[in-house]
Amino acid sequence: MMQNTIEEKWCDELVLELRIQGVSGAVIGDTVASAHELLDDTGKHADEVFGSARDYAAALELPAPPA
Amino acid sequence: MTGPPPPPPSAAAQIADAQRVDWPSDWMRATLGLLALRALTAGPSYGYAIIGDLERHGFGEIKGGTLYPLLSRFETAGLVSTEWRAGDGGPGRKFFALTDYGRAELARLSRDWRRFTDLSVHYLDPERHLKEQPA
Repeated sequence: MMQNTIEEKWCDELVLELRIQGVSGAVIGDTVASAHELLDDTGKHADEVFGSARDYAAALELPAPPA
Repeated sequence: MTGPPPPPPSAAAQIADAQRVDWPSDWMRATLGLLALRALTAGPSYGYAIIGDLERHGFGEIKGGTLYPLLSRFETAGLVSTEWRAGDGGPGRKFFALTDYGRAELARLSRDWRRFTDLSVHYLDPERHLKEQPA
């Protein structure tokens, strides 16, 4: 499993960005698990695979209830 | 003074050219959705396997930051469904599957894409104006 602190920091930023968007906890959990899966599969750094956490969170366009 | 014409490219060079990985990014943006749907026609698949399939077929290395947002929008649009499956002793994987709607859209868009590329190839043909000129 991915344990690198750089990757954990990226995932923390991803969670934060999705929370700001108002995305549900279940969808955030799914998104982070999915990111972990590909990082484990590729063995590459999150920035390289997904770009910045902020850009990735925006690109996903996940459903969020209106604030 | 012109030198001799370059030798015709070897078969290996032609294959390497067919496998070039630096396609213009706007071409990839235009087609990746269609290609990703096609990657699911053999059955449900997951991120790394889809990326590997596209790379083997000469489209270069697609980043997760490009593929996943696309699949996420497809899921919202009802073109694909998702399901987590347990791995062999490892963590699970999120599998993407074509829905009936996704399959129909893939068929429709593939037909349109064929027409569009046929038109483009015809238009780009350097000999076209010669052929089309009235006698």
